[in-house]
Amino acid sequence: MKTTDSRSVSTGGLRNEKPLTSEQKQQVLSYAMSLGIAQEAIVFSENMNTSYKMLFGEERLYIGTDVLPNIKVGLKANSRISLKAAIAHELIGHRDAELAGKSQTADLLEEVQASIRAARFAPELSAVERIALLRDAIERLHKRGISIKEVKDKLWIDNA
Amino acid sequence: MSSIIKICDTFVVEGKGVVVGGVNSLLDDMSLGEIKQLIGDMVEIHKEDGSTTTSPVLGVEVSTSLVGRKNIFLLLPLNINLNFIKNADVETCVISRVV
Repeated sequence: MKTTDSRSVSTGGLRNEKPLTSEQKQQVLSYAMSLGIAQEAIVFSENMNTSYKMLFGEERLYIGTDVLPNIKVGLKANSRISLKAAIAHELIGHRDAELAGKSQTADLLEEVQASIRAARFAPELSAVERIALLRDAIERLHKRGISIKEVKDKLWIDNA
Repeated sequence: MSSIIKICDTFVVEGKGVVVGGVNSLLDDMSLGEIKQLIGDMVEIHKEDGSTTTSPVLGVEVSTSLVGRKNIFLLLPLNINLNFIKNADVETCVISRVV
């Protein structure tokens, strides 16, 4: 695990922008490592956005302040996704697909796939957390005027 | 200077190069292809003290957060002067494209 610091990344109010507490960081580490990623690959950074990527052969899970939700009424589903569900989106969604060679080339489908995979296959999530992830996927498609039926066959969402 | 990212992290990938990563909210709506085109083949690394070094770009990767914010990563050659951008300089270095 590595830490880089100083100013918080801006999410425009869509996600948390306050520094994570040590307890929250421990919760991140515990859940992320339970999903199979090595501690060395997890980087806490108040400057960067929470996201997973295989970077030139070396994987990195960046954890920013935005790993936590912003629970305000009226915000979109992706603002309400919990800490654990956000990690599941990155690891069960993006990481597992990348390692299996099943990442999507279209950004929209990659995000939709990640949220559905996390909702279906991530361990230790509550029903509310799974519903938030599914809503996120549906909202993303709806925003572009696409139904899940139209893209279902393109997504890698049937295998854990 | 056309700023691409403020450097937030650096690490070495053995046998491949030095990865420098950062963010730039102005690029959040751009695709990977558009960002690659914007960056081009050469960049300049600007330190806060005004010194600058130029480097070829070996690769570009982008990761996206839940709310569509992007982290941008550049792979630079292993022989780039690491002292110039090592962790002590994180947050004070800016990478810009060479026009």
